[in-house]
Amino acid sequence: MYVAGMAAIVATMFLALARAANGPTVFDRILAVNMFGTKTVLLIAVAGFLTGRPEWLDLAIVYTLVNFTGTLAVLRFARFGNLARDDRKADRS
Amino acid sequence: MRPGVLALLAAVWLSLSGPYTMHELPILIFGLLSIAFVWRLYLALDRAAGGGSEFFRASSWLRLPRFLVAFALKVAAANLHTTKLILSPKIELHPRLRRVPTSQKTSFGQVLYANFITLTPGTITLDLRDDELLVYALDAESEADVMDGSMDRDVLRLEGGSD
Amino acid sequence: MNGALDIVTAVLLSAGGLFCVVGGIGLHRFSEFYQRTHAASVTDTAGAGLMLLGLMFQGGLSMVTLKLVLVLAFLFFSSPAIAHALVKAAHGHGLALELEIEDEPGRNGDAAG
Repeated sequence: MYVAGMAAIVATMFLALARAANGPTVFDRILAVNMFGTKTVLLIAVAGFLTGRPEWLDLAIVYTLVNFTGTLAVLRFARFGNLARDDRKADRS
Repeated sequence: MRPGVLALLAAVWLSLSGPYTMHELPILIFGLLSIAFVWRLYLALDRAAGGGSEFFRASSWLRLPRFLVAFALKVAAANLHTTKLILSPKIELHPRLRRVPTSQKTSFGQVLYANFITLTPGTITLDLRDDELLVYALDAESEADVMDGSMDRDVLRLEGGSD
Repeated sequence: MNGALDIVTAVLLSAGGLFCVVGGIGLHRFSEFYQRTHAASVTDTAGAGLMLLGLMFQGGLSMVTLKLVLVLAFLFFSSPAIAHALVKAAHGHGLALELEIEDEPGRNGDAAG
Protein backbone atom coordinates (compact mmCIF):
# COMPACT_ATOMS: atom_id res chain seq x y z
CA MET A 1 0.00 0.00 0.00
CA TYR A 2 2.92 2.33 0.69
CA VAL A 3 4.18 1.74 -2.82
CA ALA A 4 0.80 2.71 -4.31
CA GLY A 5 0.81 5.93 -2.30
CA MET A 6 4.36 6.70 -3.38
CA ALA A 7 3.44 6.06 -7.01
CA ALA A 8 0.62 8.61 -6.74
CA ILE A 9 2.98 11.12 -5.14
CA VAL A 10 5.61 10.65 -7.82
CA ALA A 11 2.99 11.01 -10.56
CA THR A 12 1.88 14.30 -8.98
CA MET A 13 5.51 15.40 -8.79
CA PHE A 14 5.90 14.87 -12.52
CA LEU A 15 2.70 16.82 -13.20
CA ALA A 16 4.01 19.65 -11.06
CA LEU A 17 7.37 19.55 -12.83
CA ALA A 18 5.66 19.76 -16.21
CA ARG A 19 3.76 22.83 -15.02
CA ALA A 20 6.99 24.32 -13.68
CA ALA A 21 8.69 23.71 -17.01
CA ASN A 22 6.06 25.34 -19.20
CA GLY A 23 4.10 27.54 -16.82
CA PRO A 24 3.58 30.80 -18.66
CA THR A 25 4.29 33.10 -15.72
CA VAL A 26 6.96 32.98 -13.05
CA PHE A 27 4.19 32.62 -10.43
CA ASP A 28 3.00 29.38 -12.04
CA ARG A 29 6.51 28.04 -11.77
CA ILE A 30 6.89 29.01 -8.12
CA LEU A 31 3.48 27.48 -7.33
CA ALA A 32 4.46 24.24 -9.05
CA VAL A 33 7.84 24.08 -7.33
CA ASN A 34 6.22 24.68 -3.95
CA MET A 35 3.79 21.84 -4.67
CA PHE A 36 6.76 19.67 -5.62
CA GLY A 37 8.28 20.47 -2.24
CA THR A 38 5.10 19.49 -0.39
CA LYS A 39 5.03 16.19 -2.27
CA THR A 40 8.66 15.60 -1.30
CA VAL A 41 7.69 15.93 2.36
CA LEU A 42 4.96 13.32 1.86
CA LEU A 43 7.31 11.08 -0.11
CA ILE A 44 9.89 11.15 2.69
CA ALA A 45 7.21 10.35 5.27
CA VAL A 46 5.74 7.42 3.32
CA ALA A 47 9.17 6.09 2.36
CA GLY A 48 10.17 6.18 6.01
CA PHE A 49 7.25 3.90 6.86
CA LEU A 50 7.94 1.67 3.84
CA THR A 51 11.51 1.03 4.94
CA GLY A 52 10.48 0.73 8.60
CA ARG A 53 12.41 3.79 9.65
CA PRO A 54 9.89 6.41 10.85
CA GLU A 55 12.81 8.53 12.14
CA TRP A 56 12.86 9.97 8.62
CA LEU A 57 9.94 12.09 9.79
CA ASP A 58 12.48 14.47 11.31
CA LEU A 59 13.75 15.06 7.79
CA ALA A 60 10.17 15.65 6.64
CA ILE A 61 9.66 18.29 9.34
CA VAL A 62 12.86 20.09 8.38
CA TYR A 63 11.97 19.86 4.70
CA THR A 64 8.57 21.45 5.37
CA LEU A 65 10.20 24.45 7.03
CA VAL A 66 12.97 24.75 4.43
CA ASN A 67 10.41 24.50 1.63
CA PHE A 68 8.40 27.33 3.20
CA THR A 69 11.38 29.63 3.65
CA GLY A 70 12.84 28.74 0.25
CA THR A 71 9.62 29.43 -1.62
CA LEU A 72 9.23 32.81 0.07
CA ALA A 73 12.85 33.65 -0.73
CA VAL A 74 12.45 32.73 -4.41
CA LEU A 75 9.19 34.68 -4.55
CA ARG A 76 10.90 37.71 -3.07
CA PHE A 77 13.77 37.31 -5.50
CA ALA A 78 11.35 37.08 -8.43
CA ARG A 79 9.60 40.28 -7.36
CA PHE A 80 12.47 42.46 -6.22
CA GLY A 81 15.45 40.83 -7.93
CA ASN A 82 17.29 41.00 -4.63
CA LEU A 83 17.23 38.97 -1.45
CA ALA A 84 19.26 41.11 0.90
CA ARG A 85 18.35 44.70 0.22
CA ASP A 86 16.54 46.61 2.92
CA ASP A 87 13.56 48.30 1.28
CA ARG A 88 13.74 51.36 3.50
CA LYS A 89 17.35 51.95 2.49
CA ALA A 90 16.46 51.48 -1.14
CA ASP A 91 13.82 54.18 -0.89
CA ARG A 92 16.29 56.65 0.51
CA SER A 93 18.98 56.16 -2.12
CA MET B 1 -0.26 34.51 26.43
CA ARG B 2 3.50 35.03 26.39
CA PRO B 3 4.27 32.26 28.92
CA GLY B 4 1.93 30.02 26.95
CA VAL B 5 4.08 30.47 23.86
CA LEU B 6 7.15 29.65 25.92
CA ALA B 7 5.54 26.45 27.17
CA LEU B 8 4.49 25.53 23.63
CA LEU B 9 8.03 26.02 22.32
CA ALA B 10 9.47 23.94 25.13
CA ALA B 11 6.94 21.19 24.46
CA VAL B 12 7.75 21.11 20.74
CA TRP B 13 11.48 21.02 21.41
CA LEU B 14 11.16 18.26 23.97
CA SER B 15 8.93 16.16 21.75
CA LEU B 16 11.33 16.46 18.83
CA SER B 17 14.52 15.75 20.76
CA GLY B 18 13.16 13.16 23.12
CA PRO B 19 13.54 13.08 26.90
CA TYR B 20 17.04 13.66 28.15
CA THR B 21 18.83 12.60 31.27
CA MET B 22 21.35 14.73 33.03
CA HIS B 23 24.14 13.00 31.06
CA GLU B 24 23.26 15.07 28.04
CA LEU B 25 23.40 18.34 29.92
CA PRO B 26 25.07 20.29 27.06
CA ILE B 27 22.26 19.36 24.67
CA LEU B 28 19.73 20.43 27.27
CA ILE B 29 21.47 23.80 27.57
CA PHE B 30 21.54 24.26 23.80
CA GLY B 31 17.85 23.42 23.71
CA LEU B 32 17.08 26.02 26.36
CA LEU B 33 19.15 28.57 24.45
CA SER B 34 17.30 27.88 21.20
CA ILE B 35 13.94 28.18 22.96
CA ALA B 36 15.02 31.49 24.49
CA PHE B 37 16.15 32.69 21.06
CA VAL B 38 12.87 31.81 19.34
CA TRP B 39 10.88 33.35 22.18
CA ARG B 40 12.92 36.55 21.84
CA LEU B 41 12.17 36.50 18.09
CA TYR B 42 8.48 36.04 18.81
CA LEU B 43 8.42 39.01 21.20
CA ALA B 44 10.18 41.21 18.64
CA LEU B 45 7.73 40.17 15.90
CA ASP B 46 4.79 40.77 18.22
CA ARG B 47 6.07 44.26 18.99
CA ALA B 48 6.68 44.96 15.29
CA ALA B 49 3.09 43.93 14.52
CA GLY B 50 1.77 46.21 17.26
CA GLY B 51 0.59 43.43 19.56
CA GLY B 52 -2.56 41.47 18.91
CA SER B 53 -1.10 38.00 19.15
CA GLU B 54 -2.57 37.42 22.62
CA PHE B 55 -5.14 35.24 20.97
CA PHE B 56 -5.09 32.01 22.86
CA ARG B 57 -6.54 32.43 26.27
CA ALA B 58 -6.66 29.25 28.26
CA SER B 59 -10.30 28.81 27.32
CA SER B 60 -9.45 28.92 23.62
CA TRP B 61 -7.49 25.70 23.97
CA LEU B 62 -10.63 24.03 25.29
CA ARG B 63 -12.59 25.17 22.26
CA LEU B 64 -9.87 24.06 19.83
CA PRO B 65 -11.17 20.49 19.23
CA ARG B 66 -14.60 21.72 18.21
CA PHE B 67 -13.02 24.25 15.86
CA LEU B 68 -10.80 21.57 14.33
CA VAL B 69 -13.83 19.39 13.60
CA ALA B 70 -15.68 22.25 11.92
CA PHE B 71 -12.48 23.12 10.06
CA ALA B 72 -11.96 19.56 8.82
CA LEU B 73 -15.58 19.24 7.66
CA LYS B 74 -15.49 22.52 5.72
CA VAL B 75 -12.14 21.75 4.12
CA ALA B 76 -13.31 18.25 3.16
CA ALA B 77 -16.50 19.58 1.55
CA ALA B 78 -14.59 22.24 -0.36
CA ASN B 79 -12.08 19.64 -1.51
CA LEU B 80 -14.82 17.44 -2.91
CA HIS B 81 -16.38 20.38 -4.73
CA THR B 82 -13.07 21.53 -6.22
CA THR B 83 -12.27 17.96 -7.26
CA LYS B 84 -15.60 17.85 -9.07
CA LEU B 85 -14.71 21.11 -10.84
CA ILE B 86 -11.32 19.78 -11.89
CA LEU B 87 -12.59 16.44 -13.15
CA SER B 88 -15.72 17.68 -14.91
CA PRO B 89 -15.40 17.08 -18.65
CA LYS B 90 -15.82 20.75 -19.43
CA ILE B 91 -14.13 23.20 -17.09
CA GLU B 92 -16.79 25.68 -16.12
CA LEU B 93 -15.78 28.38 -13.68
CA HIS B 94 -17.37 31.59 -12.50
CA PRO B 95 -14.47 33.36 -10.83
CA ARG B 96 -15.32 36.27 -8.58
CA LEU B 97 -13.67 38.75 -6.25
CA ARG B 98 -15.50 39.46 -3.01
CA ARG B 99 -15.11 41.90 -0.17
CA VAL B 100 -15.69 40.10 3.13
CA PRO B 101 -15.92 41.78 6.54
CA THR B 102 -14.15 40.20 9.51
CA SER B 103 -15.52 40.38 13.03
CA GLN B 104 -12.53 39.03 14.99
CA LYS B 105 -11.14 41.25 17.73
CA THR B 106 -7.46 40.38 17.52
CA SER B 107 -5.19 40.49 14.49
CA PHE B 108 -4.26 36.87 15.18
CA GLY B 109 -7.93 35.96 14.82
CA GLN B 110 -8.16 37.80 11.53
CA VAL B 111 -5.07 36.04 10.20
CA LEU B 112 -6.50 32.71 11.32
CA TYR B 113 -9.72 33.47 9.44
CA ALA B 114 -7.79 34.54 6.33
CA ASN B 115 -5.70 31.36 6.50
CA PHE B 116 -8.85 29.28 6.95
CA ILE B 117 -10.29 30.79 3.77
CA THR B 118 -7.05 30.29 1.85
CA LEU B 119 -6.67 26.70 3.02
CA THR B 120 -10.17 25.88 1.76
CA PRO B 121 -9.79 24.97 -1.91
CA GLY B 122 -11.94 27.18 -4.10
CA THR B 123 -11.41 30.35 -2.10
CA ILE B 124 -8.23 32.33 -1.55
CA THR B 125 -7.52 35.54 0.34
CA LEU B 126 -5.96 38.21 -1.82
CA ASP B 127 -5.62 40.96 0.73
CA LEU B 128 -6.42 41.93 4.31
CA ARG B 129 -6.99 45.62 4.84
CA ASP B 130 -9.09 47.72 7.21
CA ASP B 131 -10.76 44.65 8.80
CA GLU B 132 -11.87 43.52 5.36
CA LEU B 133 -10.75 40.56 3.32
CA LEU B 134 -10.50 40.46 -0.44
CA VAL B 135 -11.48 36.92 -1.37
CA TYR B 136 -11.10 35.31 -4.78
CA ALA B 137 -13.45 32.36 -5.33
CA LEU B 138 -13.88 29.87 -8.16
CA ASP B 139 -17.68 29.82 -8.24
CA ALA B 140 -20.83 30.47 -6.21
CA GLU B 141 -20.72 27.18 -4.33
CA SER B 142 -17.10 27.66 -3.31
CA GLU B 143 -17.76 31.03 -1.77
CA ALA B 144 -20.98 30.03 0.02
CA ASP B 145 -19.32 29.26 3.37
CA VAL B 146 -17.47 32.55 3.27
CA MET B 147 -20.38 34.69 2.15
CA ASP B 148 -22.86 33.39 4.74
CA GLY B 149 -20.30 34.05 7.47
CA SER B 150 -20.24 30.54 8.93
CA MET B 151 -16.43 30.35 8.79
CA ASP B 152 -16.27 33.77 10.41
CA ARG B 153 -18.43 32.48 13.25
CA ASP B 154 -16.24 29.39 13.67
CA VAL B 155 -13.14 31.48 14.21
CA LEU B 156 -15.05 33.95 16.38
CA ARG B 157 -16.24 31.12 18.61
CA LEU B 158 -12.69 29.87 18.97
CA GLU B 159 -11.57 33.36 19.86
CA GLY B 160 -14.01 33.44 22.73
CA GLY B 161 -17.18 35.07 21.42
CA SER B 162 -17.78 38.66 20.52
CA ASP B 163 -18.76 39.70 24.04
CA MET C 1 0.66 -6.63 12.00
CA ASN C 2 -2.91 -5.48 12.60
CA GLY C 3 -5.28 -6.23 9.73
CA ALA C 4 -7.99 -3.63 10.36
CA LEU C 5 -5.52 -0.80 10.89
CA ASP C 6 -3.66 -1.77 7.73
CA ILE C 7 -6.88 -1.55 5.75
CA VAL C 8 -7.70 1.88 7.17
CA THR C 9 -4.20 3.07 6.30
CA ALA C 10 -4.43 1.65 2.79
CA VAL C 11 -7.78 3.36 2.17
CA LEU C 12 -6.58 6.72 3.51
CA LEU C 13 -3.30 6.52 1.60
CA SER C 14 -5.05 5.73 -1.68
CA ALA C 15 -7.62 8.49 -1.13
CA GLY C 16 -4.83 10.95 -0.38
CA GLY C 17 -2.90 9.84 -3.43
CA LEU C 18 -6.02 10.24 -5.54
CA PHE C 19 -6.49 13.83 -4.34
CA CYS C 20 -2.80 14.50 -5.02
CA VAL C 21 -3.13 13.37 -8.62
CA VAL C 22 -6.40 15.30 -9.01
CA GLY C 23 -4.59 18.45 -7.89
CA GLY C 24 -1.82 17.72 -10.35
CA ILE C 25 -4.35 17.31 -13.14
CA GLY C 26 -6.05 20.54 -12.10
CA LEU C 27 -2.70 22.28 -12.35
CA HIS C 28 -2.83 21.48 -16.07
CA ARG C 29 -6.53 21.75 -16.82
CA PHE C 30 -7.12 25.19 -15.32
CA SER C 31 -6.22 27.96 -17.70
CA GLU C 32 -5.18 30.77 -15.41
CA PHE C 33 -2.65 31.19 -12.62
CA TYR C 34 -5.20 32.23 -9.98
CA GLN C 35 -7.31 29.16 -10.71
CA ARG C 36 -4.29 26.87 -10.52
CA THR C 37 -3.62 27.98 -6.95
CA HIS C 38 -6.90 26.29 -6.02
CA ALA C 39 -5.76 23.03 -7.62
CA ALA C 40 -2.50 23.20 -5.68
CA SER C 41 -4.51 23.79 -2.53
CA VAL C 42 -6.37 20.51 -3.09
CA THR C 43 -3.10 18.54 -2.98
CA ASP C 44 -1.87 20.53 0.00
CA THR C 45 -4.96 19.96 2.14
CA ALA C 46 -6.80 16.78 1.14
CA GLY C 47 -3.80 14.97 -0.33
CA ALA C 48 -1.31 15.67 2.42
CA GLY C 49 -3.92 15.54 5.19
CA LEU C 50 -5.33 12.13 4.24
CA MET C 51 -1.93 10.55 3.63
CA LEU C 52 -0.49 11.76 6.93
CA LEU C 53 -3.69 10.68 8.69
CA GLY C 54 -3.26 7.24 7.16
CA LEU C 55 0.31 7.04 8.42
CA MET C 56 -0.86 8.12 11.88
CA PHE C 57 -2.88 4.90 12.13
CA GLN C 58 0.34 2.97 11.57
CA GLY C 59 2.23 5.04 14.12
CA GLY C 60 -0.26 4.39 16.89
CA LEU C 61 0.01 6.38 20.09
CA SER C 62 3.68 7.24 19.95
CA MET C 63 6.28 9.88 19.16
CA VAL C 64 5.91 8.98 15.49
CA THR C 65 2.28 10.12 15.47
CA LEU C 66 3.24 13.30 17.32
CA LYS C 67 5.78 14.06 14.62
CA LEU C 68 3.20 13.38 11.90
CA VAL C 69 0.87 15.84 13.64
CA LEU C 70 3.69 18.38 13.68
CA VAL C 71 4.35 17.91 9.95
CA LEU C 72 0.63 18.36 9.29
CA ALA C 73 0.47 21.48 11.48
CA PHE C 74 3.50 23.05 9.79
CA LEU C 75 2.04 22.24 6.36
CA PHE C 76 -1.33 23.75 7.31
CA PHE C 77 0.31 26.93 8.52
CA SER C 78 2.81 27.31 5.68
CA SER C 79 0.66 26.40 2.68
CA PRO C 80 -1.90 29.25 3.05
CA ALA C 81 0.91 31.69 3.78
CA ILE C 82 2.66 30.70 0.57
CA ALA C 83 -0.58 30.73 -1.45
CA HIS C 84 -1.49 34.16 -0.11
CA ALA C 85 2.01 35.54 -0.77
CA LEU C 86 1.98 34.17 -4.33
CA VAL C 87 -1.47 35.49 -5.20
CA LYS C 88 -0.83 38.87 -3.63
CA ALA C 89 2.48 39.17 -5.43
CA ALA C 90 0.88 38.22 -8.75
CA HIS C 91 -1.98 40.65 -8.15
CA GLY C 92 0.38 43.47 -7.19
CA HIS C 93 2.48 42.65 -10.22
CA GLY C 94 -0.57 43.28 -12.37
CA LEU C 95 -1.24 39.74 -13.61
CA ALA C 96 -4.67 39.90 -15.21
CA LEU C 97 -7.57 38.44 -13.23
CA GLU C 98 -10.55 36.98 -15.11
CA LEU C 99 -13.70 37.86 -13.20
CA GLU C 100 -17.43 37.48 -13.61
CA ILE C 101 -18.41 39.28 -10.41
CA GLU C 102 -16.43 41.89 -8.56
CA ASP C 103 -17.43 43.78 -5.42
CA GLU C 104 -16.92 47.55 -5.68
CA PRO C 105 -13.82 47.61 -7.82
CA GLY C 106 -11.34 50.41 -7.28
CA ARG C 107 -10.60 51.01 -3.63
CA ASN C 108 -8.56 47.90 -3.08
CA GLY C 109 -8.83 46.50 -6.58
CA ASP C 110 -5.47 47.66 -7.89
CA ALA C 111 -3.54 47.26 -4.67
CA ALA C 112 0.10 47.89 -5.38
CA GLY C 113 1.26 45.94 -2.33
